[in-house]
Amino acid sequence: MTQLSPMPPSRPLLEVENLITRFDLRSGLFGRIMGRVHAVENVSFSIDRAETLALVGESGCGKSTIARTVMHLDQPVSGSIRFEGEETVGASAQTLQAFRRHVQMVFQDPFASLNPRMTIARALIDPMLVQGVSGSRGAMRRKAADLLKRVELSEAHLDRYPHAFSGGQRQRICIARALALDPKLLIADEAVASLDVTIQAQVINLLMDLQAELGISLLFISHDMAVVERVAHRVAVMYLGEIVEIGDRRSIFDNPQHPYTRKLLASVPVADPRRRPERRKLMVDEIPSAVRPPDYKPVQLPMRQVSNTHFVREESHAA
Amino acid sequence: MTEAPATVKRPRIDLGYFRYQLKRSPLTIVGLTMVAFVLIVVIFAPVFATHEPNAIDLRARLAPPTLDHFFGTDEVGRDIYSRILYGGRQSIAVGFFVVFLAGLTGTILGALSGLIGGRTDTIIMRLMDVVLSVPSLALILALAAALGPSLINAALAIAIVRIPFYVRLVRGQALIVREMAYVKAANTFRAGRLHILRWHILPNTLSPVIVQGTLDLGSTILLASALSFIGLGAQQPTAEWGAMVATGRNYILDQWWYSGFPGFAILFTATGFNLFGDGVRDMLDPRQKAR
Repeated sequence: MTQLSPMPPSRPLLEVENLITRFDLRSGLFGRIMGRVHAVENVSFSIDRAETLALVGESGCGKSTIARTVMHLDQPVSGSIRFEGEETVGASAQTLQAFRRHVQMVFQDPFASLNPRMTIARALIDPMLVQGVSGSRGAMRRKAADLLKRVELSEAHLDRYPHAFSGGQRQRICIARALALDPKLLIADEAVASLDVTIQAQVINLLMDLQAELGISLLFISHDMAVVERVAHRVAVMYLGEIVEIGDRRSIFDNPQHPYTRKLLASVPVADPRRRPERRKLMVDEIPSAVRPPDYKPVQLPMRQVSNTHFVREESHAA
Repeated sequence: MTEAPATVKRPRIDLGYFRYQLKRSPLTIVGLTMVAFVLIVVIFAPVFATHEPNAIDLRARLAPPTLDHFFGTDEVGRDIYSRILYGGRQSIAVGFFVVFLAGLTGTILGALSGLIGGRTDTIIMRLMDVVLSVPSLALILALAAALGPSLINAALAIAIVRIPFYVRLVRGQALIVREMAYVKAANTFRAGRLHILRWHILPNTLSPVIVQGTLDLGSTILLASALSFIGLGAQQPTAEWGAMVATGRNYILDQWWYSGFPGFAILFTATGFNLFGDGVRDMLDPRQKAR
């Protein structure tokens, strides 16, 4: 399994700087660019070893695009993604191949994440086969069994098909599959959003245990502030493709600065009616569209430092 | 959760489940029996035949069914029963050949179209639209006439006309599977297109293709017979059901057995394959299996 490598701890595992990802909208006979989706606009953050950074924000704010860009599934327009100090944007195919082994992903829908016609064993072995991990079939099968045990499932499940498992079990199998290549960074894209609350807790505990055991870093993408408060070491709040506030968990939850962060926090349900705030502003308005005309020049306000670990973007006017 | 010993490998096809499904649909059993009966009789035609299929006996022309000639004889005294047995070989071979060829080509084209998309997709699909835009019987006639009248050419013509159905089926399935999270997951560990095709798209398109193929067998046999009926398929003296019905037509008022029995053979076989095909579709439908 992954060892904590003896790199100097000062250097973060993943550094993302000024990342911009846009998608061209083409239409018409000649495919002229009619507009652009400014999905990720000048985003910078970093993740330390064995640290969990939560990326929060509502649907369509660019969280998943960040994940896809970090995985190099989408091409960034500009910016830099450094992994263990090594630049991966525009890197050679070999560097990328090695890099991809170290970053794996878990998706939202556990029911679509496993091929219904592959046994669990085959699904777990698949990444090893694709990446050309050496070893016999038997060795891979043993590794697959180990992975299953790691996510608290039994070896006896190896030869079953996905339809025999519940949502939470499937999500754990997906986590096992993501661990098959011994990654250093795990991206969980809304990985618990479609599970019910008790199962959510199970999967979150599993992720935290794995982090403690293997020392992997987590990029935890979510819209659920309650879940984030539980897993995250640091939190980045996204709005319309930008990070509007980033800081350690305590600062964000106890001292939110940006009005959008406050709104997000106000939307967390409170079980006790007496502790429920009297007047809370719920978010009812639609998130503005990120589609812009092709000649649009984005304006970005500077970040203001609140404390050593807490930054917030200036606002143009009270939102 | 029941614990099974880890060493026991489960069979890929669940026979017990198969049997259970069969029991629930008697029509499938009927279809299966009919298909099995036809296949056995036709494959072992030399065993079951009472006469040489092409042996002429001018003393017994157009004889009605008797114990010697179960289904009577034709205008040159050939035994119709034996000719039906041998003729079935042609018709059924054409059926399987067409389904195999069209299914294989269609699956490859459809998978490429759905997986690659873009210009490749447009070219393939517009070509298929062209084939589909012409009435299939007219197109088959034109193709068979252009290729020259023979059973193999007729089969090729039918196969070409059937390809678009498989292409559409597989492309649609490929488009669905391509967007599934498990393919995205395969992308995250950098699986190539071929890997995705082999391990994700093909396994998930196989059952609809099998269903389509089984259903097609019946109609292909009908089409092949129709081509032979109008003289573009099997040529004399080869026994073939459609051709026999065609010649027998001249005698239909007095010698009903001449076209009647080959016609019944066509009906019986086509019905059998259709019933069986419907049953297979119900069985392989993943929505049913998921329960």
